[in-house]
Amino acid sequence: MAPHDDDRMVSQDDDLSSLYQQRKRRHPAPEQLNNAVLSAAKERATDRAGGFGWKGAVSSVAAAVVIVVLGVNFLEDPLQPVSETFSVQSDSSGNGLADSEEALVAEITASDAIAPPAKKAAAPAPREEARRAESVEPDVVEPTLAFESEPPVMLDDQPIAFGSSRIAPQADPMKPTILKVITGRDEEFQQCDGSVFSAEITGAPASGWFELTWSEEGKVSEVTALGEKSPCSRP
Amino acid sequence: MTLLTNVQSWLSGRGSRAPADPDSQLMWRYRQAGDADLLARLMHSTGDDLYHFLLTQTDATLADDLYQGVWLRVMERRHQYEPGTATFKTWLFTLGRNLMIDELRRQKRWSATDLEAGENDLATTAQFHTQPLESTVALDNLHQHFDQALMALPFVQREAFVLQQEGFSLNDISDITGIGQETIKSRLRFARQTLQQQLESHHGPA
Repeated sequence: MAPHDDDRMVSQDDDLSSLYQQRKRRHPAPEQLNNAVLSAAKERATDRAGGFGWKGAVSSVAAAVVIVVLGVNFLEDPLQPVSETFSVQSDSSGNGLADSEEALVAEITASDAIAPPAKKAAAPAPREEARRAESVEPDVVEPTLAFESEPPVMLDDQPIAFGSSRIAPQADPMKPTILKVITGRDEEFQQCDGSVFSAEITGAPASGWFELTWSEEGKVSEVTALGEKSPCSRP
Repeated sequence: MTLLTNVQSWLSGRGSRAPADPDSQLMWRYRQAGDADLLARLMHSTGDDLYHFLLTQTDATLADDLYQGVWLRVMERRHQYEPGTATFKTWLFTLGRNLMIDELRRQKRWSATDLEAGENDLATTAQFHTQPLESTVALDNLHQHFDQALMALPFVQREAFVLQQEGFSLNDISDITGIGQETIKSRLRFARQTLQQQLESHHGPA
């Protein structure tokens, strides 16, 4: 049955609507509820309009402080992140800097520092020691610690690999001072770190280790045979 | 040239979505500006309707809380209002109904049977209501009988009846409640029948 089938139903619907509207008029929304909602709305509008000032200022100041602190820390000790990478690598794996990324970092550090070619150490330096050492003499001790974690003396027993990423202890990798003749290969010599140095060296011995003296012009001025015993293990 | 065309199409599309009825236009402006005065005008024009709906479906205490909660949601979600999809009043009542049912569920005053109850069984009418009937006293006027009969309707029938009385079409009621139009028609038919029977039993046919 549809609601508007006949006039009587229409009339009844009108009555119901009229009664409904009268009931609604008897129950309006309480004014205090409207006021409470509008107060909340105005507060929000005020917060949004005026709130950006102090909130934005606080955020900006906080961001500026963080940037300044980070910048000061970096300027005070720019090598700290690199040396931390070194120490973690030495502590955790014990396999030296096999990873190419670590080797790159090590190479950068080693090339920046002036250090003896190699230094024998019994065990990898603990992280705290590394931190202490770098706080005393960061420029000199840091690369030494890296070498300590990978004693070069062990290289005698390892096969020579081309393109090895091991650390070159020489200050200038293009002017090595200690080399070893590789039997059967002309103009290729082994360095203390196991890498291969290619050059034509007049006066190199037939076998064993030898020491090069470089002239200021960048040429080999003197070749001194050192025998079969590796000089790389010397302190 | 492409950019200009896009801007023009965006502007024309934006214009076509402009709401037609005054409340929706107000809400559209409130959505963009967030002005509390616009909200006050919206409350003035639709607040009583919403409050009466909530009061009829729950009780005075809960209706007060829900009423404030709905308007707070309007403030929070004003950017979600899309004038092209519904009028402001439809959107407002949808917010109100959802909030009300969530609250009734939370208070364990709502169950799935409420949605199905009273669809076809007028005999069970008095068993499904969210507000207890007042004790029988001498109800000597039509308004009191109407109130009593309305509150005695099952929740879903009462809801359909109130929404229709608020001017919503079958399609609007279907959107607000999420119920099909045929079901809404059925609920409305039973609600009217019950109300008329109750009133005629006290006051005779209209």
